[in-house]
Amino acid sequence: MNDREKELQAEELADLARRLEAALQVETPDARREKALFVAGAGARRSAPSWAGVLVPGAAVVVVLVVLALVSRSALPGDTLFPVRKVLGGVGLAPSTAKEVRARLGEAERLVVSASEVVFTSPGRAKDLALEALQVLEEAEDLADELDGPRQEAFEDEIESLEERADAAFDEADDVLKDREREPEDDDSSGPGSGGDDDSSGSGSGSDDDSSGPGSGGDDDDSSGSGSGSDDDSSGSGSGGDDDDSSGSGSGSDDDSSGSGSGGDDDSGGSSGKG
Amino acid sequence: MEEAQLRGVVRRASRGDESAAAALFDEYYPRVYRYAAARLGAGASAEDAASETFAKVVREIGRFKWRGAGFEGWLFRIARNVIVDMQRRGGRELPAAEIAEPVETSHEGLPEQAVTSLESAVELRALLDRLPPEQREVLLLRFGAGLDTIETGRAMERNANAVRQLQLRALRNVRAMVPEKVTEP
Repeated sequence: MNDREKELQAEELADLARRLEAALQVETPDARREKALFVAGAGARRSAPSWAGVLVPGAAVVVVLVVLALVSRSALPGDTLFPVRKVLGGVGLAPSTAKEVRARLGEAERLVVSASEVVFTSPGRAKDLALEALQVLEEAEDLADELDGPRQEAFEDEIESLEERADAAFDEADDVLKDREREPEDDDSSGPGSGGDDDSSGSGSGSDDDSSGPGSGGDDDDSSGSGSGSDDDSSGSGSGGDDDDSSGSGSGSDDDSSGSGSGGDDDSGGSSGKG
Repeated sequence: MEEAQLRGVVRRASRGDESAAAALFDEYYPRVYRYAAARLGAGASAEDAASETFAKVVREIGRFKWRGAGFEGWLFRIARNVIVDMQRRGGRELPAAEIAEPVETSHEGLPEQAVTSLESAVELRALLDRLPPEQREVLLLRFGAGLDTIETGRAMERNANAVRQLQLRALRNVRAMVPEKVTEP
């Protein structure tokens, strides 16, 4: 093929391309509706955030709230996290203050009832329970101070009532304990040659209160001696010691005692003395 | 539209900018319609194909990543798939599948009478359907959709020189088919 033929062929192809282009050109129909749909669809993408865009920050917020709720759930007025607990309680993510007060009142009630039940069987335990109840009531009172007027007043009445019951249980248990401390001495600490609480020996007798009689014994272990000695208003003679291995004779006492002889606290000995 | 400008428009449209979406539609809807009309014939089918193409574009544009083919490549691939689906649904065989080998190129001059017969778009589409798929595609994109060689290259994931070569071979094949056609009764 010579240059002329190539040139002719190129012209023919160019002409064919023009005719093709002309033949394929068609009038584009009115597409306003399609355009409106397309534009609206694209615009909707702006208000349709992806799942990841919503879930990740959402999950982070939930985790933070859960941690705060857990950490602050036991916060009391005055604690750093108490305002957090109060806010979370307001939106239902932590127990409300009123519910917390109610829970503490329930706990205090349970403790007071338990204390009352064991006042005679286990007065020491009853005192502990009563004290615990008073402590819980103190927390309830702090929380109740955060509430508004009418609810606070209602709770305060209940708190006061429970405090009275806890105090009564405590006093009752204390009396029982004191009575029990007195009972062995009232029963066994009179007469000559009697001793004090445990293993006292010797002649004479004595006790803590209002004891009288000749001879004494000490309060505690292994006291020996004769005569008497006591804490209050005791009188008598002879000796006695408070604690271990006291020996001696004569008498001695702390207050208002009179008598003769000697007594010592620990490991003391003497032959005479005056209280 | 320059590539840098097109990138900005596509990015804004994918983020919900309505003016950018409108600009994309104005730029590409006529081309997609002409491309569809060249393959399906002007009318309702081509309109449906163009509408469905843009409906898919608006659904998928958030996932579009600017790679080698660019936006045109992505857009016309969607259009091509829509058209193929419509042809399948319509029970039409793809004529391009009938031509496994390129037709022999003739160096004979094109008779004036035969060239005149190309004025019928229907006859022309029939001729194009007999071309190998890539040659037919290059002619449809260049002369139907009105893309230049660079845009056609992006749409076909080819470089501009390869597009020119394909176009030349396609035109020669069309010219070779014309005498054959005019001899038909």
